[in-house]
Amino acid sequence: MERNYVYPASDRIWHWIHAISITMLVLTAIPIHFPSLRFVDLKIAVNIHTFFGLLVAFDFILYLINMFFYGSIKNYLPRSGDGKQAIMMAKYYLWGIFRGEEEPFHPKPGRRLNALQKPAYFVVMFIMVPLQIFTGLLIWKAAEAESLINSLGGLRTISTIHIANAYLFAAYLLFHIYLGTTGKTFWYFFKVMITGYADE
Amino acid sequence: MRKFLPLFLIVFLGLWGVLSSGTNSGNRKLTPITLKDYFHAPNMHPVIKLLDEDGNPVIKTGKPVSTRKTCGQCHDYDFITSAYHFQQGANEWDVEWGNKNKEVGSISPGMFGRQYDYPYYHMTPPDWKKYGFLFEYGRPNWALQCGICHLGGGPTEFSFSGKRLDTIPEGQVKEMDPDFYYWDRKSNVFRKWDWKRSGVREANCLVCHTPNYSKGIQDQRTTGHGMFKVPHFSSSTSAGLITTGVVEKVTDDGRVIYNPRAFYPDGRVKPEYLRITGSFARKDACLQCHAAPVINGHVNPWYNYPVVKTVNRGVLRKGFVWSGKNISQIRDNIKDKEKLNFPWDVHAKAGLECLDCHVMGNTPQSSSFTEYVKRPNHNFGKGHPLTWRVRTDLDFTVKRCGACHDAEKEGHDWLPEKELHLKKVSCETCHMPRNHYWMLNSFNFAFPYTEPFSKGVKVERACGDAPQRFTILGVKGNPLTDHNAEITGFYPLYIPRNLEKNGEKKIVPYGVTFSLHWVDDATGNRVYFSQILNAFFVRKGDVWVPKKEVLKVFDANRDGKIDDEEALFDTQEKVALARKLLKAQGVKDPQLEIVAIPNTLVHNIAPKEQAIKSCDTCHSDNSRIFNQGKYSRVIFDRPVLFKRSYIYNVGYRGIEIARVKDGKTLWTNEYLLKDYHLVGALAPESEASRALKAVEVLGLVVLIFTLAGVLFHIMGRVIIPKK
Repeated sequence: MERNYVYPASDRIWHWIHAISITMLVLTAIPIHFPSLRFVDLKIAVNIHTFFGLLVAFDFILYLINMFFYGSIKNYLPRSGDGKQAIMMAKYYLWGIFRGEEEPFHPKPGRRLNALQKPAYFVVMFIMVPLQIFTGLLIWKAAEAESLINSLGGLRTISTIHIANAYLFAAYLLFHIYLGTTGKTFWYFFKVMITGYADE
Repeated sequence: MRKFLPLFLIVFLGLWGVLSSGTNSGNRKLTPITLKDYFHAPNMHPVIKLLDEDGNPVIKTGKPVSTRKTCGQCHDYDFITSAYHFQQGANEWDVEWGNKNKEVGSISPGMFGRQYDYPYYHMTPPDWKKYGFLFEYGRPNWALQCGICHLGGGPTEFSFSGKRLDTIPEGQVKEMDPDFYYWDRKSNVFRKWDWKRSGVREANCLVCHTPNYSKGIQDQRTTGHGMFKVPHFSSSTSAGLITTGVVEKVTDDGRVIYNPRAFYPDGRVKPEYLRITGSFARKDACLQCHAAPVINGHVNPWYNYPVVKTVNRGVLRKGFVWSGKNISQIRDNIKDKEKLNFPWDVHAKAGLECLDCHVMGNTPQSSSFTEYVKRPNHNFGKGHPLTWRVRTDLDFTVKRCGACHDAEKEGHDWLPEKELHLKKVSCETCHMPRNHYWMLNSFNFAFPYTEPFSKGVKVERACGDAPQRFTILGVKGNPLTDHNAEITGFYPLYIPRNLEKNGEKKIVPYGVTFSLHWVDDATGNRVYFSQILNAFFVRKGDVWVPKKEVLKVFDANRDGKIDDEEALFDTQEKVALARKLLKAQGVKDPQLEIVAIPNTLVHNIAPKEQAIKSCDTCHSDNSRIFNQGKYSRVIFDRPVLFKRSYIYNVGYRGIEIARVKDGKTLWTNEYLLKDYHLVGALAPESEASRALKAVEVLGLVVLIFTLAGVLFHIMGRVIIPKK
């Protein structure tokens, strides 16, 4: 079987940094948001959260460089036939997958996202991630950014947005990891994201 | 003789050795004498003659001591008494002050003339009818009832027009002139005061500058209690000298019998009798009014108890105990005191005194020594109080923590977001985690006690001679009547406030007392006490008794009395009746208000080991900053039907601070802290907190649906047969 080199090293590195960071952020958000649970010391949780938050912010810059300077953005661009493909993918996930049908989409260099992944990842990477980084930085530097925070409706508003987005991230993380198990084998997509090679 | 010679030599040589070692400075480190020690030396002050108001030695005339003449020999009496401590707003009075500052009815920014809740009173200005005032408190009322704390000079010496009160000719006194007339609440009549008979109250310099002076006896002399039958002002300073041995007796008509043995033949007082301190006041000078000292192992919350049974204002307002002793050493019934092995205040333990932070307006260093002796500036360093606005030009002159400590460098590295915490949270918030004494919690001035006048213990006789309905915080039972009542202490409430000039607001702990009272919404003026009395009560002989219609609605248990709980306005029927009765007294639109009277808790600083270090003290659902859970404050144990609530400060008017929940009236600082977000803490009921709660619920729903979707999908992959 032919294999395509779909994910270059730069993509895989930022992906796994992102994956670890987002997981850690979600996990540490729990004791921060619910300190009375007391399963981790609040100070430790805050420090870890801040560290991975900054790492995600840094990683996001790498992502943008990769996206716009090395052409990864083309993976997100709509193409003709995306509508049909979206219906096919939806049918596959809602029925075909249960019947053991073959996945209709195979990633290729420059076309590694299917028609459902494109809008989903676009929302995550271009709305949710920057919004979370921005609100997180404001909360982190609340003292210095006070006037900006106040002009945006106050720290409570910023915090509420951050928390709402965090719930979406938690849901997304769950969903994303689960879909990662729906390849040819349980570990297939994980291997793809480690080696960069996907079957034709 | 010979046989005693060796013994004699041994004793002689021994004594010589002891004495010579004591004077051998070469072997000992000499402790330098500080300026403060120098001034604290008891006999630093020159031996003086006590003079009467004519400038003659009192030992020759038998007249009361005049501090104006006596102290004025060397010190600028008028300059000293121009300080706010003496004036209390009297030199800033303005009949329009209330209108200008949205506090209708107040005529000054200070204790003299500003409406305050203890005492609940209206100071009557000159030409009061012209400005729509009723006559309530005249200057004699103030002198008699506020005079326990305010010891002369300023408002008890001079009239509104600046004339000395005992020099105003009878012919110049108008009918119902508030400088002369006063309201006798007991008899409900207005009487004229004879300043010539009573004399005026000059500033009582000796109460702070004479260590063994008795403030209690001068209080009795002022108000005509205890060993005196009638009030008398000019002899009150002399009366306090009884405990020094200088004075033997003061008669009811104001004559003073001095002890001739205390005087030199030339009229000067022997220093062993009158030990006037130098520049610095006696060490407990401020505590006489501002904080409870520890005496014989007990916290003493009274002014000169048992001479005067009035509670110290520092205790009333914030449970302020000033002592370096460990709380565990106190003999009072303090809950779990064996665990409280730390001092009431670390600064007291370290030997600091009030003037170290509340610095004088000048010092020998800041002006020439001669100038300093002549005109010592008694405008002591003050903060930026929410409650008081007297001499606001002197705000922020008190020394704050930063004068001695550097929070950036001293032991706060463990603190997450150190910079943010130090910027937003005052030092006291963590370093005064709990007050271990009691204070007043709430007053109900909307329905006062009247009969009998002596019922219960008056909270503060200085606060009017009508006993007040009040609740106490931090104690089980009534500590005023039961000295074994268990003292549980209390948690502060938190209000944002700037404590430094041009500084930004920080979270600051406060001792807050709440007041329920009536206001006339048509004018904005608080309903006069006399109107409330006449609305709800009728006079029978010497006493006021509730009207029948009042008893019918309020007296739930039909015992013929209105108990404290019955006196709370928790039903529409009570409010409607009260409004009807008050309208009959001329109040156009009577409405109930709850006002928070805040006093900063900047004392009672605990050792650093006791400071708050647990994050979830503030960052949790039981956040003490938002006063949730065990930190909640119950204002009244009933759901009071108030129209509005606010905090005692113009800047915070319009911000609600009370709410009714679960059948109780509770404090809320949600609107004060509306711009504050505490990670992990859910703010009380508000638009913002409701939005956050909605987000929480929606977020959980999204998570649950996602999880359920994944599980169903997994089940589908397992259960549905493959092709």
